Amino acid sequence: MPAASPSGPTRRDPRLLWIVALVLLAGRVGLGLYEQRHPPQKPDRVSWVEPADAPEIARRTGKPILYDFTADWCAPCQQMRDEVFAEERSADALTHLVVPVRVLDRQREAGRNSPMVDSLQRAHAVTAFPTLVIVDADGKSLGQLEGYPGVQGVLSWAGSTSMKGRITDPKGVKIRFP
Amino acid sequence: MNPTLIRAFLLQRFTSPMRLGLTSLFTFFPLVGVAISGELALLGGIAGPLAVLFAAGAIGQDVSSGTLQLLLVRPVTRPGYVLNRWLGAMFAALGVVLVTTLCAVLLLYLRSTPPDALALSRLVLDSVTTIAGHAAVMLMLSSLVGGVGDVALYAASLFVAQMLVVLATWQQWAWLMRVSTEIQGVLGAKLSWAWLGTGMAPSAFDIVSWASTLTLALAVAIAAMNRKELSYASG
Repeated sequence: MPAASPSGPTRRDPRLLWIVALVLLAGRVGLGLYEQRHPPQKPDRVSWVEPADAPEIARRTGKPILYDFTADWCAPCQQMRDEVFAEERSADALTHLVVPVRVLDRQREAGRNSPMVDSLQRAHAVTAFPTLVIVDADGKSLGQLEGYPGVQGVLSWAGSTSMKGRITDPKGVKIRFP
Repeated sequence: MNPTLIRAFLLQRFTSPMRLGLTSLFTFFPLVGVAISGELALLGGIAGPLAVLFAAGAIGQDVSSGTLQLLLVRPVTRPGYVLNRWLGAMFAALGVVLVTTLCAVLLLYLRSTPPDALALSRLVLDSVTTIAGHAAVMLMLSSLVGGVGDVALYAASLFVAQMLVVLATWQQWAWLMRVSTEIQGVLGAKLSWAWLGTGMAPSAFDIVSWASTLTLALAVAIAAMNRKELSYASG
């Protein structure tokens, strides 16, 4: 019969599990700090367009423009980059739907933004990152998405919003949604 | 592994009308989505909720109902009980996910759009790791509160983490954003297998984070179980 411990025979101290858990926790903190200083960059699979060129490309292709308002310090933005823009299928789907333009905020790192970034942020009242805005070739906003709702959330929003800018009647005239 | 404990747990879970109803809800609509769109990826989101559903109250309900006292008079150690509850929750959720995936694959064959083998492998591996992580976290929460209070604790933690994200985004506090991302990572412990077949290496941080959450959650659950004083004299 096993020797009874003061706390009862059903209790067993999971010492090995604690050791493994603490080693993994230490590894997690160490790797987290390392990756914060050396962030692993997944290759971006979206062919981003310069903001100044986007309206002309949008007119030529008949696609609306997608502005990705983002910042390097913003964790959800990084997550969206990794899960949406670095994934072949979602990147292809987006490129098929819109003319993608990245608007990178450098306020925190450089103290100020370029006039183009400032004017786009003001024009679309961007107050948080990430924010996605879809506009037609004339700059009229078709929809705005604040935050990162996951891959499916971004793709379904981009799909439905971009359709507003593309649906035409049989004579080729754009139908405007209210 | 104690097959008797696991079998009893599975029987308990699969005879609960509430759980069966929610299981149907979680699986039916994604399956309809797969049938309409032909996208197997729509099943990607069911593993986590199913793991939460089957692991909810895994320990707390035994404590509240007094089953635990009866169970521990048998030759079962408390760590063994915790680990078998975790395995039971995993098997239950994984079984449902695999059956649902099989149905989805059959549907895709009926649509004459058979699924990509690599995407299918990724989906199954994603599901296994997601279920293991979520079940461990739910088991930890279940060891801390009675009944199905772990579900409330889980929902409250998710809400707090989301509020922290909003605050961090509003104040542009990178450190708080990191903290809230880590909390969300712990609550939704999963390991992505998206790198499989791409030629890219998996992220060491992601692997270690997932394994750390899983082992810590189980260790805390066992420690909490070891500290429980069960009275055999009173109801």
